[in-house]
Amino acid sequence: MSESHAAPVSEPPALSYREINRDIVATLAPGGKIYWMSVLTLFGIFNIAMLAWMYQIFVGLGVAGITHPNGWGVYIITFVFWVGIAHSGTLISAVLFLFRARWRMPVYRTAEAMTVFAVMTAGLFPLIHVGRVWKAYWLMPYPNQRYLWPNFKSPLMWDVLAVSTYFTISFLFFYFGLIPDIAAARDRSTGLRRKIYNVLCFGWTGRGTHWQHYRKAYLIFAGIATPLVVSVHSVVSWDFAMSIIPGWHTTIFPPYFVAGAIHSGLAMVITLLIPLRRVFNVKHIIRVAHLEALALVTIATGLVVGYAYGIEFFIAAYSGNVYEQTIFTDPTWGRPFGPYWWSFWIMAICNCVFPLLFLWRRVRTSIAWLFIISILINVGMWFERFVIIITSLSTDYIPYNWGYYVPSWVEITILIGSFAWFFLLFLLFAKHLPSISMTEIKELVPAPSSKETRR
Amino acid sequence: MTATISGVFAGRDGLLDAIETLKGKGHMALDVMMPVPDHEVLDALPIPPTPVNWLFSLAGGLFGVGLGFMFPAWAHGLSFVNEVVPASINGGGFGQITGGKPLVSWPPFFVPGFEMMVLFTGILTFLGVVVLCGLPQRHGDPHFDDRATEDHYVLIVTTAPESSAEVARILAAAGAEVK
Repeated sequence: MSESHAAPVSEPPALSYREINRDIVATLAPGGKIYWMSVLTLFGIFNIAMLAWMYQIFVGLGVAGITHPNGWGVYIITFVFWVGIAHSGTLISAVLFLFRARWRMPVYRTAEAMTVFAVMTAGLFPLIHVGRVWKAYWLMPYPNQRYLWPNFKSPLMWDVLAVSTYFTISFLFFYFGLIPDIAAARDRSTGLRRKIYNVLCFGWTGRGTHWQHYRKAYLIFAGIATPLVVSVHSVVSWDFAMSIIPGWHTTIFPPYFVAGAIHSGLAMVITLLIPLRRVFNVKHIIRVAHLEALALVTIATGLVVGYAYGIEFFIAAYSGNVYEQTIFTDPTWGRPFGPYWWSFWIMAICNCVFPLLFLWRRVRTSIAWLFIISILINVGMWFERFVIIITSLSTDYIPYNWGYYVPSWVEITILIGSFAWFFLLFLLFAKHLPSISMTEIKELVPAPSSKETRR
Repeated sequence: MTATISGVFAGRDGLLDAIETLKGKGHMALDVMMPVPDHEVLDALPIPPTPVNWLFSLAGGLFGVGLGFMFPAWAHGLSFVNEVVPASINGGGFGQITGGKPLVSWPPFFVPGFEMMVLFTGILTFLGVVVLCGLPQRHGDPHFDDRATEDHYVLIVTTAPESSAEVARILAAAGAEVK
């Protein structure tokens, strides 16, 4: 299963500056029949989901399965899932930039795009979940006649601030990195396309004085995005941890959520890169070694997530708290044995066991295994949020309150539609803007010398 | 009166030689268009360090952290604000007591404080680069060459008109295509 282009991750691509431009600009060539068929199919699925949402808006939130005691269901699960997917994009682009991990260069643009699109997808879910979407602007602090402001002591308000800041900063960071590459694409285009690219890159010319500002600003972006990525999923975890629901009210949640977010995001980057490098014929730039490096990080995040799962059980058992024990260790109602036992085992096996297969070099260098395991990890990560949200809410303090949550067809349709929306955005991006950074790949290879070009 | 001469270099070695020679002859108004932020070229160029970090990023961060702490405090009803500012414009002075906490409870405001700091640092940094680089350049740069975003370097020298022949000679000697 292993394929060629298996040079180690530290080895720069054997390309000149001109060849880098040629190969990456070639990815922007007009899409073929398969490309547009894929775009149309995804757009169709997305529209079916929009119809389901319209039906929910028209009839009311009762068409969703969320009801007492499960006031949070598929919408919040999927919101947390997509925010989590976003995280490894920032990890790869900002954290690995600060660590000077040069292997990030061929893959970081894809990861950043994934971040932006995942946050855009996530941002839809609170709007869907609130039901009366026309009142959604009440979430934001704005001057109003009633002199009322949102409660800034509430984690839900922090979440609004954190996720909107995260989207803004991720988008600016992503766009900032794109500017020199759009300029390079502009100079290899003609007609209307050239004009559009020129507007998008602000007429960038790459003067030394401009690069001087650019370099410093890029470092600042990486510096602020790094703590931001930790803060955002910590804040998302506080949506749960600040409440007193058993299974949620725990101090391990922030690092547990951040590790889980990076775990799922890394898996999604692998899922996206495998078709991208094949379709765009850039296997010599995004090599197996880069995917292998991502797989190795996935082993680490999988172990952290597994540790967090384990420690939850230990704390429940050690605390002597009967409500915590009901959620975790009770032989009838505990997560591994209770009504939702299947979701617990999907979560545990997909997130903790499958990534360990990457310990074998043959598995982590096999494209087919990488692709399958990366998808399984994301199935597991969606179920992680299902386990956290559903099991805790359905068995809270009073047995009289307990219930069993079943998602409705509307929720499932909107869930599927969110994937279509995400992949649609990604497909449109990959064909219209450089999905691999020309500037950073050039920094990996030797600068052009007069001797070689005079040949 | 000044004259601007540019030379297009196919390689970095010739460019670095030309920069050193020009600096040696006292020509300090130099700039280079290049496809990557090349450290060696940037170090060789006599250009001042960027003020984007303290002029824009720091200012944005300080504004953001101030806003992130003070706005929630104001919205929750700062008592001293209520005494001096009419209730109609100070957030109403409703005094939203939540969870039995003090009206102005600083620990929860760390989150808006931090998020707003990051938000405004980012926005101001982006704007800073746009302003300092004079972007958007709607009509382009007369010395720009399409090859500068691929694998060539354009050295731009601003000098006195009487020195332009000398500059052109230095550029040509270093292997540049003089414009």
